Amino acid sequence: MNPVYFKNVSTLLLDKEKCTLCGMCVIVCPHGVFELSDESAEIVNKDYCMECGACKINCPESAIYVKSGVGCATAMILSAITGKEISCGDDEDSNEKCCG
Amino acid sequence: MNSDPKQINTLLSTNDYLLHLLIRLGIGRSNYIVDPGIYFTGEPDKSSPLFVSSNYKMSFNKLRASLSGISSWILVIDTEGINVWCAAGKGTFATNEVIEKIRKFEIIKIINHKNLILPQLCATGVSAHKIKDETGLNVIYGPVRTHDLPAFLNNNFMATSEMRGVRFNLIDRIVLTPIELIQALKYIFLLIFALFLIIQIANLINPDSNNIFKYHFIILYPILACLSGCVITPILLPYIPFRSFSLKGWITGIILFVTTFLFLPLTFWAKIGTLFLFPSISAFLALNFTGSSTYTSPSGVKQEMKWFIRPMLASSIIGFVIILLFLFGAI
Repeated sequence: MNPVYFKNVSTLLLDKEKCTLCGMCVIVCPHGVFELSDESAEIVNKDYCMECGACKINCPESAIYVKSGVGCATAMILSAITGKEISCGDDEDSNEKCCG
Repeated sequence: MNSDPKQINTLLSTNDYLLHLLIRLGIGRSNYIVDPGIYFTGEPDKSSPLFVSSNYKMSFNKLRASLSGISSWILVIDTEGINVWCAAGKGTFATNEVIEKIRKFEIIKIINHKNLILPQLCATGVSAHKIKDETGLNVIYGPVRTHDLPAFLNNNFMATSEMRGVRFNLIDRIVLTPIELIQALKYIFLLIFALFLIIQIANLINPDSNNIFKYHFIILYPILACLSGCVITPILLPYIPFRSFSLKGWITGIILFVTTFLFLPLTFWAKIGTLFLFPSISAFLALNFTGSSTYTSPSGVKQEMKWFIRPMLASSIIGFVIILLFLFGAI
């Protein structure tokens, strides 16, 4: 069972021209978004994409773009209210870790 | 920092399991770390596999527990005590940190092969080809779950697609609920305190506003909203309709609070106020759970927030005002 969140929201883009079929995207993706065809990698499950960015930074040809970032809702709400970029656990004075 | 490799056990003790439980309850998280450095299991030599681990002790424990009967080296890097996936997303399980520790602990003197086995989930923060360019070492991404490591090693570092997939099944969800609940309760107690103060003021202003169900209502309902959004919704997640976590939390809340009306004969306005305020709180808490889930994307959460933050806020305010009026005996 692969749970799907919203459809058609993922910012994932693949430039097949640049693909050299190294297969790293298939290896690092936690949700089986990519498969390899004879010509290049293919996005086969775009709606499973959680925009973690592993594919983007492990593609040696920079063929993949995705808008990855913190998915933590608290961070986003704070960010929306204060108008600044917030990442989780940013409070350096706090001994609390919000995740882990 | 002592650079001599330290031997470690591959058997977890009762103490380890106890600490894991406490960690899941939110106790002792900031101290549950391992010092960065080189460790080993069994009797490794230069041809033995070398794993790279975060320094969150639970991650480290899971790794060593999977290596029973296997001789290996483990390089622990500094992820500030955060687990692999969160650290990678946050930028602490990062390419540069791995490179720095490879150089600091002179990995090329420890092994005569060029393979580093990293946990797959650090790929969010680690660029395998950059590590190769800088150090000459090959990053091999291991399976997501450490218990697949023996099979992975036996299969010439090949993982099945099953081993590379992250799931979010019932157990995965349940273990997250205590910490969600504990973190939310801190804020909920503020709400309870505020409502309690309001009752005291209401009693002074209008002594006729006495209602024997007030305290059940003020203490029980905030806690129920918390349970609804932090525990029940996460546990029943795939069975509740709609993809939106906010909507799921709201539905669970509505059902739960309507059920309580069978046991608490509140007045009409008390019920209306309840249904406006408390399911919204449950919805908000459920929305927050997206941050702990393994399949939600930032784009999806942004969409949720765009649709539901304002309705949640409006509903909460309406509900709060109605409840205020009810507590003051005005309705």
